Amino acid sequence: MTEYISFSVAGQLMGIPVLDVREVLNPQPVLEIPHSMSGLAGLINVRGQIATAISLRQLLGSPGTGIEEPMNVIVPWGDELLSFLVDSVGDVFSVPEDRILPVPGNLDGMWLKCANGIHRIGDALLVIVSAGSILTLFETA
Amino acid sequence: MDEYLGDFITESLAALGRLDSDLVALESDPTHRELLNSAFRAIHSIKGTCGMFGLVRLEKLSHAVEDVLVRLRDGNLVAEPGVMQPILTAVDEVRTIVVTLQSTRREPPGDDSMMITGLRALLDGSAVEPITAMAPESAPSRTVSASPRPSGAIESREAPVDHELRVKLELLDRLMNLISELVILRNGMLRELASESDTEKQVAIQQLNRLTHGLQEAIMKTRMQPIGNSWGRLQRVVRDVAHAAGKQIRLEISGKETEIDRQIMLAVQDPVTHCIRNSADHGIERPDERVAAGKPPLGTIQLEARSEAGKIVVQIRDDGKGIDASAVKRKAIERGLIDEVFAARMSESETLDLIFAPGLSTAARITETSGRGVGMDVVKSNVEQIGGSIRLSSTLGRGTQIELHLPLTLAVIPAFIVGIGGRTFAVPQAGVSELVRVDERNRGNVKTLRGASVLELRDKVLPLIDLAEVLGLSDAKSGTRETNSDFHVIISEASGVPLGFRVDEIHDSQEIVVKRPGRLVSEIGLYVGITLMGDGSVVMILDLLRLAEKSLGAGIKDRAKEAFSTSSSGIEEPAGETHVLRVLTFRSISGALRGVSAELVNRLKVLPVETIERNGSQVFAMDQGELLRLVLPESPDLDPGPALQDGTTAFPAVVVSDGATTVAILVAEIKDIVEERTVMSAGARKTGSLGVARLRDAAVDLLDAREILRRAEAA
Repeated sequence: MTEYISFSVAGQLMGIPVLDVREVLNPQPVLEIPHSMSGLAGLINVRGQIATAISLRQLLGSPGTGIEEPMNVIVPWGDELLSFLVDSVGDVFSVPEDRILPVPGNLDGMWLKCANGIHRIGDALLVIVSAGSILTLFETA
Repeated sequence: MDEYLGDFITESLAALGRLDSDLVALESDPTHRELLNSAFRAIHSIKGTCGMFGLVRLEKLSHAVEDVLVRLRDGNLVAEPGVMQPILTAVDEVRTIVVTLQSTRREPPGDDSMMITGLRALLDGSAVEPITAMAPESAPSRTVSASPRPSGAIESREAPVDHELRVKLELLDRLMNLISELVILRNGMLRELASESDTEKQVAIQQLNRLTHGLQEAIMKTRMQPIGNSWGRLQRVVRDVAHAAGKQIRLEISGKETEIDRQIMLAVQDPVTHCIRNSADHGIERPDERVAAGKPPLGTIQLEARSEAGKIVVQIRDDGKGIDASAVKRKAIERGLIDEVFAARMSESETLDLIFAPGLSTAARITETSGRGVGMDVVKSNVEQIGGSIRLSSTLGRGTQIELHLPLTLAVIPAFIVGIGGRTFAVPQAGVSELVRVDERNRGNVKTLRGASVLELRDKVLPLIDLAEVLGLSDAKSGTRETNSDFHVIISEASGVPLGFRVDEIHDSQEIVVKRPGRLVSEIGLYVGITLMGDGSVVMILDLLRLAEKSLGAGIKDRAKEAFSTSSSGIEEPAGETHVLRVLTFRSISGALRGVSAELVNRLKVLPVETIERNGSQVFAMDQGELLRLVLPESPDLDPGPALQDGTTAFPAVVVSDGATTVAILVAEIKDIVEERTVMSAGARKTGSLGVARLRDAAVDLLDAREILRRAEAA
């Protein structure tokens, strides 16, 4: 049984393991970095620690930074701190491992790359991801 | 139990490091008592503790090594290469096991029976010759047996040093982070209360400042380690290369107690190893070659570290065959890195700098040990990444010297806080030689040269890089910024060539805490790090060198030199100082011995009189499809006509060019190209002359060729 926290990006519901997440923060000022690659929104200051802000909407959805005030899903990664910028954050839900559905092969490009599985809540389908799978979106190969 | 295992691994790795150096040293000094003892102790302590953790393979192997070392220690075996090699190989295997243990918490499976048999053979076979030269032992003699030593036999371990303490690295890092935040807070308070008139508050601020600074310095010291700590394996590296290639090489290390920040030490470990390996592999010749060259058959590599005014200098010197500059040039031309015209004008030091270009290797054969010499560009970028610099010099036939300049610390650096395109950035002060404010008084010094923006500074012309443009922050609406606004230029010599960087404002000069950004940000490659301002805002720290490369293209040194000729081998240096000058000397028509900077010389021609024509008061010659204006060096504005009318059919000329204008200087006789370290005397500077220099024992009046070119362009 794994617990996930749900969130929404460009109208799509998603889930990430709760254990990957340190905390969720309200919208924060983001320092934009000149010449940053697409998806790298910039840097935010989390109580003195500098986190790399990654815009999921930019990576997965429509171009542009997306929602003006994205929520921050703070995810530690190695000795770095990441912040996934998402449109909104929802509830925590539990799923037994064997109930996670496989990813359909006709999912579009980036979504296919980062999806670890699919889960159904009510009528909606959620795309399950992890910190690691999101980071693969930055790899060129 | 896991923690004890961790301790065992750490201590074993340290012991193995010492064991390695001891064994290599023993090869050259087989009877050294202390080495024999400490080598034995190192392997004994490893073997003794293995049992506790059930590390069977490790115990068997280290036991076999220990048995041989006992023989060595007791004088029943000589430490000659035939004996040492199997020991070293076995010790390598022990290390591999421990390293695997470190990452997997388990012994790797493996069969060492061949190795162990080999070691046992040493015990049986050559155990005969007693060491006759040994001093009488003061320790009681022991019976040597091949059976496992009783576990009760104790060799005294080195007494621990009382006034030192083992501290976990994580704790030191945490202290470092805390002090960094304090520094940021201090900076913020200093700024806010700068205008505070209340004296009590002022005093408190100053105290806070003093204490923070003291704390910061003390904590930085905890991260300092003797640089020798990372040099343990170098003797082994040299030994292995020497043995494989049949050479005799000695590595002399000095200054290993010089203290350096741990992070920098680790970052520079590989570059240093690579340079030493290069010296051993490509620099030092084989003994027969050395003798033929009149050198002793034993080659020497010297590694030295010393502390110098806020820097650590690491020098690697060898007495090998040096670097053949012409071979490097040839290789570079072959690889398409430079063209022949440019190559002809390059000075020796510029040629040696080519060694750092990626893709250049002059090793005749690809040797196992150093590979293809692809490392030097990586060495350079590794060193520069931590804010250091590297210089290489060489004398053909005599040897090569590499010098690394390293900063003392990475964590806190002095920086300028600047405004670019409405945003705030930080620029490290390292490498910055000057700040220039451009306003209505000197706006005329900002010019455009063939489409490139330049700044005239005294008698240099520097590329002017607009950081707002490079960062993509210039005002999109107007395209260009207001041409009449004031701005600042930061002059940096970090690349070896002075470059000017334009910023809008310089706010402040501050000590900032450098935080390393995450992987994604580092990949962008334009930033040294990030820092937090006193008010909590995040600011990027610019990497000027990388930004310059982005603006000017890679190989900025070559391009900048080609277009702007600002290298230090030119003559446009203040007189009275010692410089290396590279001068083309000639005798002018008036009979005087004169010289012109070789850098500006494009070609030497003898112009047939038929190619010369007149146009008003100016005289031209057609050469290589180019119309060259002819001038007399002494009086460039004067009509050279009369000088050409004595019936001579051809006139020697020195053709000079600065990339934009080309002029042919009429001379009587071209003499030589001289490169010498000399002093230029200020003297009475007449127009058109840069001064007089003593070159090859003659006084040479140096022509101000740039002035001539400037005037020719203006005309």
